[in-house]
Amino acid sequence: MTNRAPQIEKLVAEAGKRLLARADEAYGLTVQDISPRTNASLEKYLLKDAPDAPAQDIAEFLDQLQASDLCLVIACERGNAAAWSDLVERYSTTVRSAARSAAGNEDAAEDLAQSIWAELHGLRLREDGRPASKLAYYSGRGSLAGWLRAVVSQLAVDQHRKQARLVQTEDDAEFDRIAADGSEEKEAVGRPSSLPNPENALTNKLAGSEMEGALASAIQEMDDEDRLLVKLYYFDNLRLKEAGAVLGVHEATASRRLARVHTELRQRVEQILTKEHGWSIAETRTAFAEVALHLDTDLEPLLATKAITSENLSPD
Amino acid sequence: MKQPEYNEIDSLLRSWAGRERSVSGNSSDGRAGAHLDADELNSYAEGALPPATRARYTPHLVECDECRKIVAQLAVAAGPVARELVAAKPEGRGWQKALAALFAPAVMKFALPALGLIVVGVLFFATRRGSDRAAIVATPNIEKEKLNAESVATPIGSPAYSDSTSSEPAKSDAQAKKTDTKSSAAAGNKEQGTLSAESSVFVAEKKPEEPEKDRTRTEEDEAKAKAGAPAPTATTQSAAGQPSNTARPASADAPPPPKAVVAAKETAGASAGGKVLADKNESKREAPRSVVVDGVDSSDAAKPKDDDRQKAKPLSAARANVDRRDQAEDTRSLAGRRFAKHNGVWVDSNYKSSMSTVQVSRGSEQYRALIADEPEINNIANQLKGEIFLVWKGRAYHIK
Repeated sequence: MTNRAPQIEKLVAEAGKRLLARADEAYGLTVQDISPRTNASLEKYLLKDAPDAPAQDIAEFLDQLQASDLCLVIACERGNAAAWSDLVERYSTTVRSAARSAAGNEDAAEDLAQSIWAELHGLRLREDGRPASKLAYYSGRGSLAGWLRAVVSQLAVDQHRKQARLVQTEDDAEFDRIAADGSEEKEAVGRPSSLPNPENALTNKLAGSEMEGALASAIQEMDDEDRLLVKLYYFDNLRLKEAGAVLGVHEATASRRLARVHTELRQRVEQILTKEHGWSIAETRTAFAEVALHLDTDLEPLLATKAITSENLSPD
Repeated sequence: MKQPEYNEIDSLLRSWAGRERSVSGNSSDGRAGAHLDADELNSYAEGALPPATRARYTPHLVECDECRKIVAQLAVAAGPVARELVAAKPEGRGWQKALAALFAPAVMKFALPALGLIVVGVLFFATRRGSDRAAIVATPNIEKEKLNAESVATPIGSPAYSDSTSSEPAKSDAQAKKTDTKSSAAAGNKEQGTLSAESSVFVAEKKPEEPEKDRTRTEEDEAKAKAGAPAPTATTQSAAGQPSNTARPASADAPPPPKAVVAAKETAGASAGGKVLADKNESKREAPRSVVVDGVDSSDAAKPKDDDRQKAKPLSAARANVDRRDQAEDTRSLAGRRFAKHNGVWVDSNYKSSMSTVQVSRGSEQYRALIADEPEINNIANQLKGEIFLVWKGRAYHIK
């Protein structure tokens, strides 16, 4: 690694020239101005995971950096007024819309946007006397607009978390009650006579627990991208198109991948149930069918029952 | 996966997710490790990370609801950009792979011979079709021609149905020729009616008993090609020199001329060949067995092209065509040929009026000899009852 340093330095310098040439506006920056930033990006996103990456990969990586965005950000950091003007002009809309979607109301959105601009300008001074702007964390790997949206989202989450801690106890109790009411109402409206008889419910519950245990194991064994897809689709309730956007694939690809995941999971669950729990093939198939049949009728009422019980036990 | 199985595992996953949500609360603390920073989240969402780096972040996103939520929002917001970034690379590789696969030796080993066969097949087909084109193109004009024939029909000054498209009006100073086809098993047709030096349509009725008459139509192209072939034997000049400048198809509404159609000596052979064309309309109003002889003038009315042609081949220009009296009564495909039935006569689609035709009677010695050499002809003849005009290996046969 050490002996590669000069080679990498040279690659960074050459890429820096190309980057300045690629940028719409270089704001008078030099290769020396941008090299530390591009080098940091290289370390963070390429060399950390692939320390022996060949020179060609390094050059390609550097050439894929967002030249215009990176020059704008670096120029802003260096106090270039024109760059700041451009930044505000081009991205105030982005920041405002991101804040609006992250915050609950217009006032909160405005506060959030102001906070972001303050962060970007830098609330504290660094050792060299320049403001410690959040812009220093922009690597140029993704777009500046996307980065700003991410910053807004994170800040919103942080603020929400802080506020949440203050009222957590009361909120939790209230939330449980609302959730229980919701489930109860859903059950009453949608399936008035669907309560299973206790024996079947118990059987199904046991079967369900073993099956769900097997399913959880099977999911854990999958590779990360597949697990991410399952989470996005089932846990976050995203549509395939949205899940595909996260995975960087087309909706159709996401759909095919999900179908494969289904097949693999089913096979693995059956395998776990037969080998580890001694089920017969017929039993696993029956159990699958019952789960599908009773999912809407059994599991949610069971969960609701659990919530109702806890509510009834509470002093209220 | 079959649909029921899909539904079952789908249901199970939904159940699991619901339970996970209810128990996990905030899963982002602790087990998932450090959160991703804004730059990492955005780079991930935009698909801008090298694969190894992306793989490092994915487990956290699986576990951390907050980071995953932000990435999902960013990815959806930057959807087109992200897709562009991601799609460009793999698809490029895909193209290269696809191209490489296409030209892989293993593929080429089979593809080249197959391609060669296809090319040969197409060429062969094109050649055959090319020779049929005139006939095919002519077909749509049958109606026109019929109309034409009706309007002009009898006055005889007759249109020259030179090939499909150029039935130019024939001026009636032309000498019309009445041709009579003579039955000649030897297919030796002599052409006589060349006096006017112009092509003429003749006619023919093949069977005296038939109520409808057949007419033969001149196809000049083919006539030209067959210039050297023996011409129909008997041609009778008709008096028909009547002006028939109404000979264009459009003149259907022209007052029908006298029905006088030159009677023709019909021959059972209709050996002059030509398409057998049945014309119901004509049959309605014309006497049976009448023969129309169309004298075609080489006058200025004809297209220059036709003129040239006619001048070049004055003698051969006259060719008998069996006029179509009717639309095909039936069509059959046998041995790669199409046969259309007109007036009870099966006519090969490849058959042209200009072909010299060998007349063969079923059961004759000649017929037996023929089917001994070409058994397939017997199959065709057995399946198509009655008279057949058949083109076989470049020769035309009239099987009776």
